[in-house]
Amino acid sequence: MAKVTLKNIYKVYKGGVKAVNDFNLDIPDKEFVVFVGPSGCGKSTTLRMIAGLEEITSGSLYIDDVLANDLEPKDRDISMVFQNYALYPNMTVYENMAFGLQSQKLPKEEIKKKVDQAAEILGIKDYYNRQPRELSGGQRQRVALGRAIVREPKVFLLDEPLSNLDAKLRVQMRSEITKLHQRLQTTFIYVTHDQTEAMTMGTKIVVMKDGFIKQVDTPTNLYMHPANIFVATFLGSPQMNLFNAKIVKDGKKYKILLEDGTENVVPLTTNKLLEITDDNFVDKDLILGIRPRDIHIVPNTEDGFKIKVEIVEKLGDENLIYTHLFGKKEYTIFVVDAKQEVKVDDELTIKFDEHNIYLFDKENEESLFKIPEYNYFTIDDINKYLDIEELSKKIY
Amino acid sequence: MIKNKSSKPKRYLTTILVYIITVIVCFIFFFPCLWIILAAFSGTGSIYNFNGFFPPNFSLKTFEQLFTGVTDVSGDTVMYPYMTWFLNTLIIACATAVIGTLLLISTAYVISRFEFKARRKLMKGALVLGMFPAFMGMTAVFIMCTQFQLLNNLWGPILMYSTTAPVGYLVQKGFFDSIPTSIYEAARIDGVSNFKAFYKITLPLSKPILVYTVLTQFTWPWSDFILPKLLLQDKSNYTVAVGLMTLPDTEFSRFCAGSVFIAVPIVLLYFFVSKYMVNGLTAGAVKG
Repeated sequence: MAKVTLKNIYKVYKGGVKAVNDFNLDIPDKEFVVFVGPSGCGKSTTLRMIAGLEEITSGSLYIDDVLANDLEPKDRDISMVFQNYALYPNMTVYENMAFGLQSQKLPKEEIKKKVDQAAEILGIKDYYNRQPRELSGGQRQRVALGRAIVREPKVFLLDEPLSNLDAKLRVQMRSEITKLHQRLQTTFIYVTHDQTEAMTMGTKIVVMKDGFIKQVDTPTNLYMHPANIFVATFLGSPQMNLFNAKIVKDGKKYKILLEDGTENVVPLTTNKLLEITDDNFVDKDLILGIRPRDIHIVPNTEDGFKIKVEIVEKLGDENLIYTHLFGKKEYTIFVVDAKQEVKVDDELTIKFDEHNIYLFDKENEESLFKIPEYNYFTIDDINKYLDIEELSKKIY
Repeated sequence: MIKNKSSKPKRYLTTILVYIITVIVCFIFFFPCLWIILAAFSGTGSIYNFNGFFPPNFSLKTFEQLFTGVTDVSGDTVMYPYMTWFLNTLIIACATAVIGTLLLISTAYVISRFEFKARRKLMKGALVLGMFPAFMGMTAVFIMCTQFQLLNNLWGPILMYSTTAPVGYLVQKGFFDSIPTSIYEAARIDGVSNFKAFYKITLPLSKPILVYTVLTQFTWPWSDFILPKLLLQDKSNYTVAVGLMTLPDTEFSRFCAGSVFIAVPIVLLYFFVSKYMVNGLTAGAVKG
């Protein structure tokens, strides 16, 4: 159990390539932090720096308030699960799990006890005498997790551990890792490029791009209050629709013009107006974002945007509708219930839910709306949930 | 698609041609061997009374003579101590196989696994050095062995063979490169020392390349002529190759028998471990 603190961490490779830029993060004890981002965003590098497999170019890393920059991996009290499992191919499952303990020179009985315990949790006791090549992907992953557990580390590091598994197994292992986290009550740092994994597993998500942190928050807050266009489009599937926008004053009220068309208007609600932090928002070049689930079909008689359906993708319980809106090159996508019959070439009227729009500054791509101050709770907080007083102290 | 009617006979023709060439090449390579083997079993002992290419009659006499040697006029010096030469060769080859393999494998492992300052320069240096034929350094080797008093000592060739072995580390490095780094990283996190990781993880995974290395390290001194000729001057220190060269023309079938006899262990060795050899070669080749 430990907290991890990263202060102004940089990673610069030979030749000047900056993989990680000014990385600042506090990871409290028992947290499940997920680093997520497209490939090459520096998430794995950061994890490997925490593990001690990669040198930190500058900045300081603290594990439990101890400066760990120059500590050997084995002295950091961490354990790591690798993408390709990295099991020792020539050893049996038992030997794989016991290898680390043996080099700690623990007595044999104690090793056996610890390995048994871990194997019990993961249900791999039956495979003790098998070699990694005789196991399926899921079983191998379990052994890799087991090898990490037996050391009872302060921090678990997981580097895309599920990306080599098939879709079904991935979902299953996802919940198993979450359960493991709840059971072990240890700090987990998890790296993935898969936003679903990040959203479902993390108690806190760090979204990264090009070596920079773009936003850190709980999954819900990231989804509800993205700080910039990157986070807004990276999380959520299908991706958020974006339009060029401008806010104009219409008498006492404000309205949003989309793609320079006088007809393409979305009203700016009072609530949204109050959220805007920029004072000079009128007539500024903006980007409006709307999630596919916040676009609705309305009866033809009502006000809205007339569209022609171009592609219908059937997902079973719902359908994705692709269309071109306001002469924009990219498709606009929205989601309708599968029961609602929509065919290609249908002409429909759609409406944006004005309560769920996002506005971004076109220049710096930052959100125009106020992002709630880092309001997320640790597991301890949630456990104290019944104690409303305690919680309200934290919120207000 | 239009079928090409001429394709079938054309294919046969190519196959036939390939077979003919293969047979010719095989014959060119195999004929001298065959001739040596036949000559070894010759009953006459000399090359001068052969009927054309082949000896007139066959017997096992030469093989018997091989181990008895021939004593000189005074009757106490054995002129052709084949058994001693054979043992010398065996000692040199075995010692080289052990020491050379150790040096070579550890060099390849270090270059494959670790980043250090002179790594690139060393690799380039080895590559350039490897391009020169080994006997170019003969003068230097001779002077060095004189200085260290290794002349006429079996340790001379043993050390020379073993210490030059690491220059040819590339195949082994290729093999080690194919072991995923994450395994070593996992070991590092597990708190396993580099050396322990090497003998607990790398070595058990490297059996094919180990077999390949031991074999190549063994066969090279086993059949080499130049270096022992240079360094071993006493008849009792000769290796088989050097010893056989000192035989006079009249002892031709003894020469042949000696050559055949020395080839037997190597042939057997290759026969039994060729499976590993191929594994080792291809395993190294995947990520060369």
